[in-house]
Parts: sequence; structure tokens; C-alpha cells
Amino acid sequence: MHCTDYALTRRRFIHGFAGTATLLGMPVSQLLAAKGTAGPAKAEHVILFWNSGGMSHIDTWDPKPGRPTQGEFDPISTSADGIQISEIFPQLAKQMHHCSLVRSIAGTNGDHGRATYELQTGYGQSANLVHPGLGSIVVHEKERLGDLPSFVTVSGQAPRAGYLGQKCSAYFVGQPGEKDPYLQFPAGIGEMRGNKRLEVLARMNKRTSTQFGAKQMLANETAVDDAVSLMRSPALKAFELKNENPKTIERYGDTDFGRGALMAKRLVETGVRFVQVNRGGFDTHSNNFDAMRNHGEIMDPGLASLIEDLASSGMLEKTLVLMLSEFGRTPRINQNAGRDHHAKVFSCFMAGGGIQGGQVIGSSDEDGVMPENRPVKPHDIHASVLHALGIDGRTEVMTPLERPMRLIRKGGLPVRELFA
Amino acid sequence: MIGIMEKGSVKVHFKRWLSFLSLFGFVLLLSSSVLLGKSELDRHLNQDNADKKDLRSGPVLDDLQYLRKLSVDLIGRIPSEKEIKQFLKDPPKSRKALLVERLFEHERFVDRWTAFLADMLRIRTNATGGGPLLAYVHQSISEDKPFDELARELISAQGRSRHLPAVGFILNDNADPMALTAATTQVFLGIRMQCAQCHDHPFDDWEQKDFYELASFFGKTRRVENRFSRTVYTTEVEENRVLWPPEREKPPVRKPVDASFPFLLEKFDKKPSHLTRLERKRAVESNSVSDARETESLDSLLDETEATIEVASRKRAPGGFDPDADLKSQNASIDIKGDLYKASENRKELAKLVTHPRNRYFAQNFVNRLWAELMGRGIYEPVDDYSEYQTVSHPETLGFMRKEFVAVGYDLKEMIRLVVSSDAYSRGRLDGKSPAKVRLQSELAFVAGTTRRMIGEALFDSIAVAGNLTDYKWPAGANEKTVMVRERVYLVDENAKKDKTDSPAKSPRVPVMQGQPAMKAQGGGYDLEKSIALDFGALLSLNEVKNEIKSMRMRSNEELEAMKMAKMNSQPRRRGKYKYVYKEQTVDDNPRYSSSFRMATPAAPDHFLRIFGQPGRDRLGDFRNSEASMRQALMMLNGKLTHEAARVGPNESIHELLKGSDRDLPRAVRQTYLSLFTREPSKQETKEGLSLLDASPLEGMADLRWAMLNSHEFKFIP
Repeated sequence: MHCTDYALTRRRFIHGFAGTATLLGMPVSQLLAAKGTAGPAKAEHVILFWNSGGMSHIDTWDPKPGRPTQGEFDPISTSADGIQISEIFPQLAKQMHHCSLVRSIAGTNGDHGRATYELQTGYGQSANLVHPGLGSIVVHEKERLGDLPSFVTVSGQAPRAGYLGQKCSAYFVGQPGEKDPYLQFPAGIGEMRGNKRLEVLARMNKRTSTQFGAKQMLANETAVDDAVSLMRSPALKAFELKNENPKTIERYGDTDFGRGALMAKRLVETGVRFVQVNRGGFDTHSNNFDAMRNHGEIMDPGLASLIEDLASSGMLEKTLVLMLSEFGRTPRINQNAGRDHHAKVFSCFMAGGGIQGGQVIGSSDEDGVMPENRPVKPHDIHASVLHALGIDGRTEVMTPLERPMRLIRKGGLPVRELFA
Repeated sequence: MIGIMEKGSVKVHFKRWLSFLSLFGFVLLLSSSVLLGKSELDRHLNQDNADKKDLRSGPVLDDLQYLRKLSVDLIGRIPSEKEIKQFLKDPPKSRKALLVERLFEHERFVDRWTAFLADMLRIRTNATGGGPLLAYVHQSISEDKPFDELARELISAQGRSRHLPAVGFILNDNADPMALTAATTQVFLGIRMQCAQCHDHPFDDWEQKDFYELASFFGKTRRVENRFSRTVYTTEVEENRVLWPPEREKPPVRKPVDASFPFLLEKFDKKPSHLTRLERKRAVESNSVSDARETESLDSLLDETEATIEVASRKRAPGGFDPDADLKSQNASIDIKGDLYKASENRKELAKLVTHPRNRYFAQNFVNRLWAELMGRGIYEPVDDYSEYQTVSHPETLGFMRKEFVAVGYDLKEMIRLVVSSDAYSRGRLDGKSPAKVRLQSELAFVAGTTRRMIGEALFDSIAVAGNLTDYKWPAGANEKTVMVRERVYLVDENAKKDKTDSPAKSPRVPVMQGQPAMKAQGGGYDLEKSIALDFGALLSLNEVKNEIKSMRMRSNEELEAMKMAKMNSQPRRRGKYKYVYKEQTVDDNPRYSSSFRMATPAAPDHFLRIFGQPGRDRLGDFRNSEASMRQALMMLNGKLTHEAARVGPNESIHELLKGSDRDLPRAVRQTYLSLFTREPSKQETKEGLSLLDASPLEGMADLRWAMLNSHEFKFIP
């Protein structure tokens, strides 16, 4: 139980047990070792780039040169032997020795809502339960470091925390690099006046909570204390890019994506466990190639600079970078020069956090229609992320209505080759 | 300005004197029996509490506390200055009763209770049919429609939501029989059968077969979406898609299941009084009410569509059989037929059984949810999980209320009146001097009030009304300021580039469609506190339906498709490399807030309302959350709403007391306590308030109001 909770919950209790869970009489950790899946966990942080709309796999990570499905882009060689990616990522190509690709994710759903749910939570939608997103799972299992919230989402919404409770939900930042108005006193209220107000408030609240002794009120006071200590934290600088070298901002690309990537780097350096950077516009039913070229121009400098900087500072060892979308797009190019939804096979990008760079896991067939080798389930990806962080995905948590749920849906296994 | 009349002020003092005495205990008995009187409901509660130990009654709320509590519960915000004044003018003996009736007539009553039903029914305005459904529920409450009638409409509706808004309930679950079975039992009966969809229920007696038999009532309903017009509706087909045995057992043959209702209706030797009372009430009503008008309007609309179908089918392509065109024209005619809402006999039958006066679960579910909304906790919890094995803390009370609900003809206001005029409702919290165990037991027994936070919408609107933000409080131009606005500047001329790389496949130019556009924060970053009202009238406008049908008659599907394309073309999305620049812009920051109960609902994920617990309404069992969080604190400490509410504007009456020739600081403090806390300040509080106003009355008042808005006393209901 590491999400700041203001009241003792049952979850804390359950979690106490999870650590000593046994399977077939053998501690889970030993069992994993026996299967050869456990190395020493290296990852401490995760940066998830969530590309919503369904990003074309063929035009990014899984080019099909010479095939009718190739489209407008040529593949380019990269710093990793034998790995080619789309020409829209020229800078990233120089960093590919740090990165790995999974080219055989076998999705199950071609509907945006359902597929997004599955790729973000690992579970299928259910009428009765809200499953937590990957970020919420991570911050539920990993203790908070420093003053900042453990889980931050940038430029868009992260999935909900579901049965893990509101405390495991993401802190939302609308515009990366801009000052968050909620982290400072309102305009015109200086430090002194703001602090005076807080004193008046504390006195008023103390009077009421002493009179009634209600735990809801005490929880409220703790929340205010936490808010104030966050407002006063020097760590808040991580959110601001105004003191960042303009050349660095330029290098990442002065776009929401580039700023998001740069801020994500600063946040994990300050101790944030999970940063989700959101980007839309991948639902390219028409003019797919214009759109993807444009996405490339914007994403390439940001992603490449992030990997390069994390690698040179040594942070890449501890930080798993992941780029994911709800599905891929059809190999067939439609009459509007677009590609439609395609869930049967698609790819994802991973780097750092103990993942062996410069490799490709699995493959799609020659046209990018179906998985050919080593199909990977969506929840295998989630299991892999948890594995990198040293979390056993089979750990059970109790929902508020006392239904036991695994962190990762049953059957989800880490993709071992990634950690070879 | 509140300016309590001399007479009123005497009464207030008398009241305070009374509650002072009640601390010693002996007036307590007197006041509770004389001023309020124990109702029949209270007698049942007492009976249920007879064996319970460690109980201590909470203090009876004084009149102003009762006003505050009831206003928050019934109209979703604290009372305004004017309303406090009006309340204090009423004769003390009948004040409370008059208040209940006045709040029933308040325009906000319907909005606030729409939120209650919208939570229960999981209404989302952005879901297909969600907007019209919300407006329809709103209309039903304003018409005092009996709840059983509304429930029957929701369960049995068929067609298109623009035409028959009630169908939004079926569309919400995509007309899926399994999802609808789980929803119907959980929402209307407070029973969870969900587990039985996949296996026999682990903690209950439900078998998987029961679930399938119930699902079979929905088995012939289909959701249809026209490929071209994108119109969505439900219709009934011959084939039942609920088959037994379940698919996962990989059976050789699966057969349609016969529909059967697994809940036993109550049987009586002699008809109990609540049923005869209902019958009498309904008999009187059916004589006076005629639904002829509605029937007529529907029929004439249907005639019109019949004619449309004929025209559509006569317009067959002359050049021989074209399977594609044939399919399209069939599609068009089915689409229009959708409005005929071929009624679902199965669902009509189910609706009758679910809402049957002898189906105890239906009434029991509603009254328990209502009780939880007003008292902070259900008689069983969670409110959607009743079973024979469930702990029911007050069975007598529950039984009494459910029968009463039937007897009064499933009337929402009657039931609210029953609860809020009880002695139990008018009790406040025990103070910290009572041992924790006593406090807990007494709260669980409903003899003392619970610590209950206002729902998010009520908090939002209470801040707005407390800070006089429902109208402009600054003259135009008084708050002009320069802000830095970020703008995108494109580096490459898009069109120039376009010409170079043009390819034949690209005409006509169609912009990239967004799957799930990321939420963008704009306008100074305070978007998370915006409130934009929905127009419920427009959502229900029948004229629009007529026009839509008319336009469908005149246009082929190809034309519709072309229209869709044109619409997309008219909103080009700029693309290409860009850079941010900052520009100065002058704005007049003089905000005014409309009711948050009228917003698109649920609000955006990180909106004020969601941060304060508004549920996503996309799952069953997703209740309002009342936990505290850091995000809430940040939103209240630093948000725009609290800040603007605290600042003193020249158009506010209090401005005069602080600044003008009528300067009267003690009165300003007193008025602030009345309008924010609905009570007079204590001597100590007046002293502290005055010391804040010392240096600069306007700033000091803003500080005082800011603290009060952020305080426990403001958020938690008395």
C-alpha cells in the first residue's frame, strides 16, 4: 500500500500478505527464478507514451518494403544490427541499439473504447468493475519517492484507478511545461497572505474537528497538509520548463509531445514513478501518410532525445520507456489513402529499465496482417512492465467489494526474451 | 443584504437559547416531541433499535441548521441570503413544514434529483441517447411521474432516442441482453445477479440458468446503426439470441432459453393495506388523466414515416438489380421503421414484473437508495447488493418505507417528505465528547447524524451562491488584465507543401479523423472548473425529429454520405511542424457561474465535479466517492471558483458594509457567517473576523471568506 491513503483500508492488510504469497508451496519469487524469468529488477520508473486512435504499425515499427501494403514510407537501417524502422524516425534510428520492438501483439478488439481499455488495463471491459490502468497498478505497488505525486499524466487523461481507489489515480497536467495553476496560490495572493489564510483555515478546521472528532474531517486536514507541502516543494520545478536550456527544448521539438517527453524525463529524475504522455490523432482513416509523416516529425526528435539523454545520464537503466497504442492499422490502404482499424497484429516500442536493447521480439507475416512468430497478448506487455519493476503480476488485490483480482489478468506472462 | 428584521433576530436568539438549554438534556425530549413529533417512520426506527446498545441521540438541529441541511439535500446548494430571510419570516411552528414544500417547488429541485436518478441509471450525456435520456428523466421528475411508470418506460422502450428518449436506457448497454439483465436487476431491484452470468452465484442462491432465463426477456432486442445516417435505434427481431447452455461450456447444441422471472412476487391471503391504497389512488388518477394528446402526436408522426417508407421503396434503381443499392435502400427503410418502435412484448412483460406492486425488491431498492442519499448510509449496503444473506440494519423501517412507497403511488416527493420530516433526519452529529464507539453505533442506528460531505455539484453551486457568483459582481471592465496566451505558429506553409506531394488518391481532401482526442486545457488552465449548461428543452424537441425524417425522405444515402464528407471538409485540421509563441491578450475577468447540475454529465475526468466524487457512470456499482484527496484540496485552495467567490466585488451588498458610508464591520462579519455558514458567528468568531478586517476590510473579508469556503463546516452537512 503505497498510494497515500487517508484512512486505513483493507487493501493495506491484503498487501501485507501478498509479499509472502506462495504457489505450490514455493515462494513466488523462487518459482519465478526457477523458471528463469526473474533477473534482478532494474526498473524504478516508467514513461508511457500513449498514442490514441490506433497507430499504424506498418508505417512505424514494422515496415513491409516491397509489399503492396508498404505505403509511402521506406524503411531505414538503424544503429541496431538488422533492425529497420520507418523513415519517419531518422533520429530515433540512431538510438535503436538502446531499444526493442515487439512486432507480434495480437489484439482482440477493433473498437477504440474497448481496445483502449484492454491495452491500458490489461483486462477486457466488464459491466461491474473498473480495472485500474497500468500506471495505477505501478504506483499501488511501488512506494512514493519524494514530494511529487507518484503518477502523472500529461496532455490527456490516464485510465482510472478503478478498484485500487482514487489515491492511485494520476495527477493531470494539461499543458506540459506550463505552470499548473493549482499548485500555487491564486493570482494576486502572495506567499505571506496565502500563508495567513492557511493559518486562519487551520484554526477554523481544528475547532470543528475537535468538536466532532470525525475521521472524515481529519482525512480532509491531511489532504490539505499534503497539498500545501506539495505547493512548497522545491521538486515542483520539475514541472516547469522555463529554466530549461532553450536549446534542449529545441532539440526535443517545441511541441506538446517534445515538451511532454522533456518533462517526463525531469519528473522521473525527481522520483515520479509513472509518467503517461498522451498524444491523439492516430485514427488515420484518410490521408494516413500525411498524418504519419507529420507525427514522425513531431515524435522523432522528442523520443530520440529522451532515449539519448536518459542513456547518457544512466537513468535509462532504471527507466522503462514504452510507446503503445490501442491497435494497429490495416495493411490495406483504402480509397482515401487511409488505413482502418487493425487489431490482429501490431507493434510496440520499449527501451530501458533492464530491457535488452537492439532486438525485435516476434514478427508479423509478410504483409503485416497476422502474427507469424511468437504472438504476444496485450496483457503480456503489462506483465513485462511489472516484471521489469520487480512486481509479481499474479499478486492479488481485493476490490472494495471483496472480490480478489490479480494485478495482471490471468495468463499474462512477461516476455522473457526482452530481458535476456 | 440579509439585514434580519428585529423580530427575526429575536427568534434567532430564542432558538440559540433553546439549543443551549438542550445541551442539558431535558429540553431535548420536549423539543423533539413538541416541535417535530415522532413520526410513524421514527416509531419503526425505534423498534429496530430496541436491542441496540450504546446509543445516544444526536442533538436536534436548530432551525437554521435544518434549513441548511434540507436546502443542500433538496435543491443542491446552501440557502441564499434571500432564502434565509424568507425562512426566518415564517412562523417558527410551521417553518420546517413550509420549507419542505417551498423547496419542492424550487426550480433547482428537479435538477438536483435528476442527478440522483442519473447516478442510479448511469446516464452519460455523451453516450448514444444519453442526452435525451437525461432530459427525459428531468422532465419526468418535473411532471411528478410515478417511479414505477418511468421504470416501465425505460425497460420497455423501443426505437430511436430522438423520438423516444426513454430508449436511452437500453442503448446505454448497447441492447446487450446480458448487460441489460445485470443492469436491470442491480439498478431497479438492488440485487446483483452479475456473477451468475458466468457461474452460479458464489454467495447467493442464483444459478446461472436463472440469469439466462431473465436475459431472455431481452433476447430479441437489437441495436441497429444505420451505416450512412449513423442513426442508432433498437428494434425487435424473431430470433432470441440468449442460448443455453452457455457458450464457454462448448456444448454441441445451444437452444434459445424461455424467458422467466426468477423473483417471487409476494402472495397474501388478504390484500394488505398498501396495495389497496395504491389501487384507490390509481383509480382516481385514471379518471382524471388522459394521455390522448400524446398518443395522437405519436400516431401522426408514424403515419408520416409510413408514407416516407413508401416513397423510399418506390425509388428503386431502374437499371436492373443492384445488390448494393438494394441493400442501401433496405437500410434506409429499416432506419425509418426504427421509429415505429415495434414494441417488445417480452420487455413489456418484464417491465410489468419488475415494477409489480407485489415485487418487494423494486420498492425496497428505491427507498433504500433514497434513504442512503438523505441519511448518508443505506439500511443495507452497498445499496445495489441486497440478498437474503445481507445484513439489514433496520428491517422494520425498510419494510415500512417500501410499503409506503407503493401506497403513495411511487411518488418521489412523498417519500422525501416522509424522510426529511422524521425526527431521525433532524438530528445532528454527536460531538467528540461521546466515546467513539457510542458515536459509531448511534450513527449506524440513525439516531445521530453522520459526517456527510455535500456532493460535488452541491459544493460547486454552494460556493458560487455564497460568493455571489451567480451574477456579475464586478462592473464591466473592472477586472481587465493582460494575460499571456500561447499560440501555435506553423513553420512550413502547409498548402505549398501540399502541392508538391499531392497524390491522386487524395481527392477530395479529407482531414484526419480523431479517435479519442486528448483533452486540451485552455483559457488560463482553469478549464477544470468550467460549467456550461445543457439545453434540456432542445434535447427533447420533437420538431427536430420531424425535420430529420423529412430530410431523410429527400436525400439518398449517397447524398447523406456526401454531406458527411462535406461537413468534415469544412473543419480542416492544420498540420505540420509548429512552434509556440506567447502573445499578450487583454481579458475582462468577470466570471459568472451557472448551475453545475445542468452540465453535460459526467463532467470531464479531472473536472471539479469528478475530483469531488461524481461517478463515471460507465459501470454498475460505481458509486459517488466521498473520500478526501490532495487533488480536492489543491482545487479548493488554489482554484478559480473559490478565489472568485472570496473576492469582494462592488456589486455585492457586503461591499457597502466594508467600504461605503454605511461601513459596519461587525455587521459584515455577521452577514458573512449567515450567508456562508447559515448561522450567526460566536463572540470569539466575531472577534477573529474583525481582527482580519482590521488592516484592509476588502482583503480581510476575502481572506475570511476564503477560509470559510475551505473549511469543514462549509463542506460537511450539519
